[in-house]
Amino acid sequence: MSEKISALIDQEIGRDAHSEVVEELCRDPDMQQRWERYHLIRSAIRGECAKSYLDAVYRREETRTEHAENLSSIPKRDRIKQGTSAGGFRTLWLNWAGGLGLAAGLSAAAVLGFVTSSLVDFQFTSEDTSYVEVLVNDANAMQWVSHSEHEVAKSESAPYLNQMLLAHSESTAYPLMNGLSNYARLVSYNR
Amino acid sequence: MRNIDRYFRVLVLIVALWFVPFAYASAQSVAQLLDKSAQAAQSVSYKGTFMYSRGAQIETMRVYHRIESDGFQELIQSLNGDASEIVRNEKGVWCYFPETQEGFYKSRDDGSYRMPAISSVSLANLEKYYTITNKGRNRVAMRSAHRLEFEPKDAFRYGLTLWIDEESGLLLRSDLLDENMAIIDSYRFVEIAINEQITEAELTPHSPGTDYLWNFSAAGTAPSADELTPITVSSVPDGFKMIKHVRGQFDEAEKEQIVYSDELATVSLFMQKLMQDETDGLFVGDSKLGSVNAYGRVIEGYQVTVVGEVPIETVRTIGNSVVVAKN
Repeated sequence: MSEKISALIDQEIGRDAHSEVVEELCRDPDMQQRWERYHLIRSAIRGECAKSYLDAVYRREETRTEHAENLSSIPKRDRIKQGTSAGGFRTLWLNWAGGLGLAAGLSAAAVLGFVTSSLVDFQFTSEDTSYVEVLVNDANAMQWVSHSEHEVAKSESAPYLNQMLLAHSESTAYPLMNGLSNYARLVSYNR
Repeated sequence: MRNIDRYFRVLVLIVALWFVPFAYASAQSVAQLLDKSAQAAQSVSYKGTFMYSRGAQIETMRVYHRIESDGFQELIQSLNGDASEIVRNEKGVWCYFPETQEGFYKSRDDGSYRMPAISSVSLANLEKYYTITNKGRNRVAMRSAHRLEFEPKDAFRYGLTLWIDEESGLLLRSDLLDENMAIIDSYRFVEIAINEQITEAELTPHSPGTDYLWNFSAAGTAPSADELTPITVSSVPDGFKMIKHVRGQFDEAEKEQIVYSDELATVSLFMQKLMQDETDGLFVGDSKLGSVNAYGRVIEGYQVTVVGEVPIETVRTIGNSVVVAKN
């Protein structure tokens, strides 16, 4: 199992084998757990560990009733100001945040405990640490990178390119599933 | 000897005739599958989890897509990492990036996002640039799917393999392939529920986005004669034709966008007149994001940027062929 994940991460894997491993990854909970561990290492390296857990807990604990305001919480077009914060929503935002306050307060201790205990329980094996370098190198993989030197594009260019990518995605001639894969690319963008 | 030769020729003819119905059936089913898939994208509600991968990077996402009487409503959310979300409907696209408290909004008021679907109509043209093969049935997300392969005939486009759900026509998996037919970009459903009820809550993003800095892009409109950027694009790879030409407010500036497509791959050329002595934030050179390549130049006071899910040579070829007429 580890060899397969290693090959996938190292991109030392053929097309057919790639499909097989990813299919197996989809099916095998143990393999998924291992994969998550590698990503946990990456998150830890990037200082996102606590946030990742908070996000996970948030998603688990946050009931969908909090979103029952449904589509009204999506910013409306006429409320969006170019280059400015949508200040008109601040009251709603505070109400929403206030509503979550109690739940957040109650869950905070549990979250901190969960994070702490998880980190304590998390044992880095020699196998895991061998991936650290790969993951550090890979940390920017979903950002715009230069072809020639594999460096992250100039930070000032990235927002510009994102905007162009969004406009381009709206123009795709590959509309099977309405261009779902284009938007998956945007969602996965590592900002 | 002459008789043997004659028998051999007859045998070859019989074998060839034997395969004709199979070849016809294969070609016919490709057309039917493409039509069915195009139809499904407009008429089928679904929710499911899919994996988006690029090399070693794999992201898991959730999608809710509900067909409504006046269009559709969709939410795509990342299940790990930055918890980014995208809402799409007929009116626009909202991208939520909670990590940076930033949002991107693109209006769809002009309906121009409704690009022609890949269908049997485009098959004849596609076959000039791709070898299209029905590879038979396969399983994706525990469902039976037809596998279609598009192998490019030149280096200006990527290959593509599609898995189309046998029952609904939805696209369950899509692999983009480089010149070595290695997967460079892929999404595949892990589980999917088709035509089941999707609630308003499921379609609502986690983040209200109310405190975000929103970047706005208006819907583009066809440029008038006096608005046209005075450029000439002298070299576009074979098969790529202009399918859209608009001018609009992208980001903070007016830009013109020309979209080229071979009916499968798409490339956008953006042009923006720069302010005098403007030097900040210019994009010069090349960059990539997964399978998307971008190439930028500054020519005669214009920022020219080419973006597309095509090899770097394609965006460079188009970008380098842009000539701005001097006044």
